[in-house]
Amino acid sequence: MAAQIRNFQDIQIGDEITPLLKEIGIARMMAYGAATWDFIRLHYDADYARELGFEAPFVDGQMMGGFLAQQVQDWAGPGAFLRKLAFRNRVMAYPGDSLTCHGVVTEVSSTNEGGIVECDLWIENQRGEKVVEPASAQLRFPLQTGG
Amino acid sequence: MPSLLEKLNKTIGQEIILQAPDEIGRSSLRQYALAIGDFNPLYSNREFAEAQGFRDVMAPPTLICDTWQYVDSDMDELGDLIGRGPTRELKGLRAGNEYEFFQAIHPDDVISAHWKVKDVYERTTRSGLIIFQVIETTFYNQREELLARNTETMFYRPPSPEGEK
Repeated sequence: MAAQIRNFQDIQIGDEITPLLKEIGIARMMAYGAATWDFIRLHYDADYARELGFEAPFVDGQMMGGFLAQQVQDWAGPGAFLRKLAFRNRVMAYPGDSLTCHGVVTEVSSTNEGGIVECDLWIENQRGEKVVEPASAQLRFPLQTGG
Repeated sequence: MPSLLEKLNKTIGQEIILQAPDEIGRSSLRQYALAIGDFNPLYSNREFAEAQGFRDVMAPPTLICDTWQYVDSDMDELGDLIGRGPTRELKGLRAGNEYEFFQAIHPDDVISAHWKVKDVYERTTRSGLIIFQVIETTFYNQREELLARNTETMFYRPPSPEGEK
């Protein structure tokens, strides 16, 4: 969970970022809209969404960023700082979807700023469709001193 | 009547500054964390955050990049904030985001978002012609410290010649 400690020295290219499952429900979608002051009816009003040609209200694309930030911060532990996060939305997510955030470490380097870890990330739904792809994150870890 | 592409091209270079009227606050952090389902104690437990070297709890990183929280206006009947800027009428959808975070954000930060349209371009995709719009927003606090940058890409489908969709 979030409070675990992960040491930079133990991280290797190819390590899996612990997957994170997110069950999408209309209440959580509405909560996200309220938390971000985004009251657009497309994200909670089924009749209105269908009127506009969508199968249902759809998840705000930026919510995927919140899920990915949680995934990498939970994996990295509270000592790591999320420096960068990028993602492309590919398939819309709807109430009832089960989304799983996946990831793998692609690069590890020591710098003057600290230990830098790069990851590739993606989000799949229950049908195996890539809802978010590509995505990536960069985390900065403290370097242990005194060897 | 200008085409959608002409309307979008006119947005290139447009910029606005959205100034939050008040501090981001602890309850905003908790509400966002609840919406995501992210109960990391960094966002809610001051003692825990201090033990990690922070001066207070921090915001979930992506929270500040949702700019509508800084818009000080009423909404229309569709839930759209009236004062949110020049792209409100154009009804884009999100293609993706690139966030860069420079430091932790704390409850007493008063945030300003500097929003600017950087580019508009067309691409032919499997589902037809799409117009993309790239917007860069840079976030500062009341001490003008750089907090984060969000480069977001929106997409728009031009109406078909028959007027469908």
